[in-house]
Amino acid sequence: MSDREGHIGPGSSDDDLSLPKATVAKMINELLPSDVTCAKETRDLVIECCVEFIHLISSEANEICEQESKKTIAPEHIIGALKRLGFDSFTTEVEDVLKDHKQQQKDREKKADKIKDSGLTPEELQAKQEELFALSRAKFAQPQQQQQQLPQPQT
Amino acid sequence: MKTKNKQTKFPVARIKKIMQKDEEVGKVAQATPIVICMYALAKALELFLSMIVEEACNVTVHRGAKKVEAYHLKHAVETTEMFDFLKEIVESVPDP
Repeated sequence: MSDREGHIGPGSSDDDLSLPKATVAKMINELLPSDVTCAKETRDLVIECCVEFIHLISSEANEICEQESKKTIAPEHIIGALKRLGFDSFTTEVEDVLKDHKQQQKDREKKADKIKDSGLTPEELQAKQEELFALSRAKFAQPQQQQQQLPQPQT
Repeated sequence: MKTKNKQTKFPVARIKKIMQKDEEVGKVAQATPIVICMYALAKALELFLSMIVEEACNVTVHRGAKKVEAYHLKHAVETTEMFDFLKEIVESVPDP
């Protein structure tokens, strides 16, 4: 099932830029009680409202950004915009999302640090690597001995 | 009221494109790191959708209907201060 409405070719025109109907329809469905459905017309209207919301928040965030003489919209500007426009109740959950992402980034950096923290210098690490290479080279060079080197199952 | 598992999320890249349609905002958002900032906006959008659907649905149920019609949404917009910015959008919806 394709959710492209009559757009033939790779790029859709900018004027029709909107949120994917299927995604929004699914989300609406997940929000409604099981005995209530949504009319197609309503769903389309909801999409228009969502797009308008994006414009509203981003242009307010843009203003805040300019007032602070910054060049890039930061998450804090989005939060500020929500507060200014009466969507204060959203800010807690949005801040949670930001915290989660920052934490994820930290975790990624931690993994990179693990190599640094192994306590070995790059030269020592390299020496270890050479050792391992030499071992496996030895194994390949002596096929007969390789048979004997197979670990015996422990009984 | 909501017992369904909410898994569906808004496409983050699409939100950024919509943001950039606004010429003023477009210039600034070029450099916006898509990861953090867009997820914030996507979350806000999710909450907004949740709110507007809930308000519209309340009207539907209140009127004893089983389908959320456009004029239910219109009524929800007109009676919720938070949705003032949507008044123009729902203006053209005919009242029953």
